[in-house]
Amino acid sequence: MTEWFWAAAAMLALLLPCGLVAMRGSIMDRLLGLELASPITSASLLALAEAFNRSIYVDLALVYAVLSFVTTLVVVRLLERWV
Amino acid sequence: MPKRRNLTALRGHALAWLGWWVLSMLLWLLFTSTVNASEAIAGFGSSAVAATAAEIVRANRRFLFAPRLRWIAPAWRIPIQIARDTWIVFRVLANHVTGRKRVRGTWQAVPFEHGGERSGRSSARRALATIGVTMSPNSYVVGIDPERDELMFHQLEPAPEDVQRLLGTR
Amino acid sequence: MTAKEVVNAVLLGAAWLVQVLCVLGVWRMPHLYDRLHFITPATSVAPWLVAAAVWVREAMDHQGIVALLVALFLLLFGPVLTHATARAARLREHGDWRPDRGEKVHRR
Repeated sequence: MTEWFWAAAAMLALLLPCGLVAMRGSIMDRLLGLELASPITSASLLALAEAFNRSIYVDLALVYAVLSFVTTLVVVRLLERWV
Repeated sequence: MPKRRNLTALRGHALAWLGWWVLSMLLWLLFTSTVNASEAIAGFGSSAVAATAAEIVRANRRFLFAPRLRWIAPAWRIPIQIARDTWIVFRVLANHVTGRKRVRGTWQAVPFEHGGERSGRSSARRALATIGVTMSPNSYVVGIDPERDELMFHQLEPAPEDVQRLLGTR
Repeated sequence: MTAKEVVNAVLLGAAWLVQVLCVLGVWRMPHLYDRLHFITPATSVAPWLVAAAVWVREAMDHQGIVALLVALFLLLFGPVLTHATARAARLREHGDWRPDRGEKVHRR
C-alpha cells in the first residue's frame, strides 16, 4: 500500500460529500456537487495510475477531464434557459 | 477576378488546415510520447482528419478569436494570484466555519472596454480577460457590459485592485 | 521511505487537503455565488500538486507528460465552467446577468 494508493482512496472518498451536495438545495447548488466531483475524479485517476502502475489510467484521466467539461457545459447551458 | 478571389480563399483554407494539422500532430506526439514510424503514420492520418474537421467548422462559422501576443504578458501574475487567492478563500472559509467572521461575497465592477461583437480582437481580449481573472479563486467574471464598458465579477473578499492588475489596467 | 516518496507524500497530502477544503467550502458557505469560489482551487491548484508528484516519479515519461496536460486542461477550462455557471445562475435569478436597478455593485 503506497502513498499513491492512500491518496487515491482518500480522494475517491471525497466523492461521497460531493454526491451529498448534489442531492440537496436548488438545482444550481446541486450542479456544484457535479462540478467539484470532476476535477477530484481526474486527480484520483492520476493517483490510481501510479498506485497500480497502469499508464492507461492517466489517459483515462485526460479523456475524463475533457468529457466531463463538455458534459457539464451542456448541462449549464440547458439550465440557463430551458430547465 | 473571381478566379483570383477563389485562389486567395483556397490559400487561406490551406494555411489554416496546415496550422490545425501541425497543432494536432504536436498533441498526438505529446499524448503517445513515442516517435516511431507506425505511430507517426497513425498520427499523420488522425491529424489530417482532425484538421479537416476543424477547418470545415471554422470556414462555416465566423471564428472570432484574434489575440495579440502582448495580451499574454500579464499572465506571469496568475500563478502568484492563484496562490494568494487560495490562501484568501481558505482563510475566509475558516473564519466562517469557526464563526469568527461571517462573510458574504460582493459584486464588483471595473472599467473594461467591450469593443463590440464583430471584432475578433475584442472577442479574444474579453475571453482572455474572463479566463485570466476567473483562474484565481477569489474572483470570477460574470460578464462584460457593452453599454457601460465594465467587467462585472464576484469576489469573496473585496480586492478589485487584484483584478485590475491582472487585466493590466492598474 | 526514500526522499522521493516523502516528497510525493507531501504533494499528494497537500492536494488532498486542498480538495477537502473545497468540499467543505461548497458544503458550508451560505450562498451559491460564495460556494462557486471553492470550485477553482480544485481545478487550479490540486491537479498541479498531483501532476508534480507524478513528475517527481515519472519525469518525462508518458505518465508525467499526460499528468501535466490534465493539470493544464483543468487550469484553462475550469474557469470557463465557473464563468458559465455564475452567468447561468444570474440568468435564472434575474433574467439577465447584468445587475438589476437597485442591486448593489461596487464600482471602481
